[in-house]
Amino acid sequence: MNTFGKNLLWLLIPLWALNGLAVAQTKVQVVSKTIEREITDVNRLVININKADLVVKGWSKPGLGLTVRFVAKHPDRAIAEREIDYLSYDLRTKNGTAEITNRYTIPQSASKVQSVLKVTLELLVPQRMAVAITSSFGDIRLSDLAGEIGVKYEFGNLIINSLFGKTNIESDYGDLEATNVSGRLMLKTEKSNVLLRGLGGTVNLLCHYGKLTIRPNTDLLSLLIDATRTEIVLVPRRLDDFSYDLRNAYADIRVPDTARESVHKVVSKYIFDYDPNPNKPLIRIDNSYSLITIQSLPFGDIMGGK
Amino acid sequence: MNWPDAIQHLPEHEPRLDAWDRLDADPRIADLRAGAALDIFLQKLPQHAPKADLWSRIDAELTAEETLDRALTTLPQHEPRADMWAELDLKLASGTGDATVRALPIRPATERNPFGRRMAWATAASVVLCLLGGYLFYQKTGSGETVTVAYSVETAPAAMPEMTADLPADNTADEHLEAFINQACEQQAVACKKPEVQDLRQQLADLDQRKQQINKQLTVFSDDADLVRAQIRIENERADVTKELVRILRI
Repeated sequence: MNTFGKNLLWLLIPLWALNGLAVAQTKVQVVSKTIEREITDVNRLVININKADLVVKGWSKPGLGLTVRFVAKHPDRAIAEREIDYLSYDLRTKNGTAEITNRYTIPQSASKVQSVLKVTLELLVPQRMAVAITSSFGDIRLSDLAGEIGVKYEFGNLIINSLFGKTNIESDYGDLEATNVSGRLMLKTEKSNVLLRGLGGTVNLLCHYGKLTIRPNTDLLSLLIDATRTEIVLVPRRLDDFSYDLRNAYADIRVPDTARESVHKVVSKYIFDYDPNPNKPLIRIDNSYSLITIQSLPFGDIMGGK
Repeated sequence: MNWPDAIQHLPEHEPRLDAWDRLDADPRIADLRAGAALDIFLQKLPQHAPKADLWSRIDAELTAEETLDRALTTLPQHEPRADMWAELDLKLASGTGDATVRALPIRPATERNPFGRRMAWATAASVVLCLLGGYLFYQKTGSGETVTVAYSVETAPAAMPEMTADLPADNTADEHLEAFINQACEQQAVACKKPEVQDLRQQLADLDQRKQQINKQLTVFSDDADLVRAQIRIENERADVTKELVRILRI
């Protein structure tokens, strides 16, 4: 057989294979609707979303780029096509503020949604734009922003990369993973798992339950944590990069062996006062019932920052 | 001077030439004319009377809705059988679900063999097929939006929805817990007044409220992945809080 014949054979084999697979698996019809538009003359953005994923990314252009993606999946295409129309979004612009909201409008006649519905909003915004987000049951990704950012969310994950402005986050049962945050960060969490990597600037955390892991950068100016029943792990590159004022009621404070002598117990409270150099930025933690651990980074991980 | 003479002496006045035009242009005259026209039109409008049984029909519809609403509240509630999980477990164990997962052999990317090239052809063929499978519609709307509608086909493992849908809700443990807490609080009022117990109970109430909210959404969106994840989180959190509460109250 010549080369062309062989190649043709290899083109036909996947056809046949796909045919065979189709018997064992269900075919799902996917209908997707993508809406793209540009928004101009806006200096503030308000986003209210429910059961939708959101991406907000800073860019160097003056206007906003919005992409809304609706997806409906169902074995019956007619159903997917009908139910994709349950999804909508609303954009209002007033006095330089753009407000974006997503909606699920389910008619009375259809008490239940049959398709798998998915909504994704992607926004490209000027880096210094003020953004306020309220979200339930969705994942949020924010990156390359330097303005005033407010996020209030419940459930879902918030993933942050490179935020340099004034950031205010409130989370209920939502997890947070942040890399490279500096400027000013205010974080209020309720039963959230929080990981802050490459943390700099001025940071205030208010945590209730949940877990908190922090890898501070040397450009951290101050870190104040007011926590209740939160498991806290602090991983500085070197212990002596910071001065510490840690208090933990009814639970231990674990520090590297070199500083073990600075941990004291007063009645039911553990205290770690460690001040290697008065010029070093202060880390203050107040916690109760859950362990506080300070780990020095394992040697091989120092460059990685992960 | 008597009056016929006086009349002779009266000055004469002519209306200005454009007097009629000015009167015509006066908006008050226009309003008067429009009003008169409207009256004429109103008189010409046909008369309609509602059907005699209209009120009774409206009344009947309202009564029917009311009856339905009332009937809804009295509908029986159905719970899955308590042994559902055990039965499912048994079915799985007996090998009805025969899906196996096998790791694919990993081939180094640098290895040059004719099979690699064939795979490339096969991949290319699949891509072509996918491209043929999906097709697009473009539409430019008036509000500066570009709308694209696309259709494609995905293959999903069969019977997945049936496996995940409608998790049986076993409330008996919850009822036991509530009874246990109430009993413990009656018997050892001091323990129950501890701030940590009160805090935990408050949390449990909050979690229950959130659980109900999520369950309500789940009835509309069936097994929506985000909602199921939230539900799992709440249930796990409830489990932790419950265990701690029981541990404290048992002492």
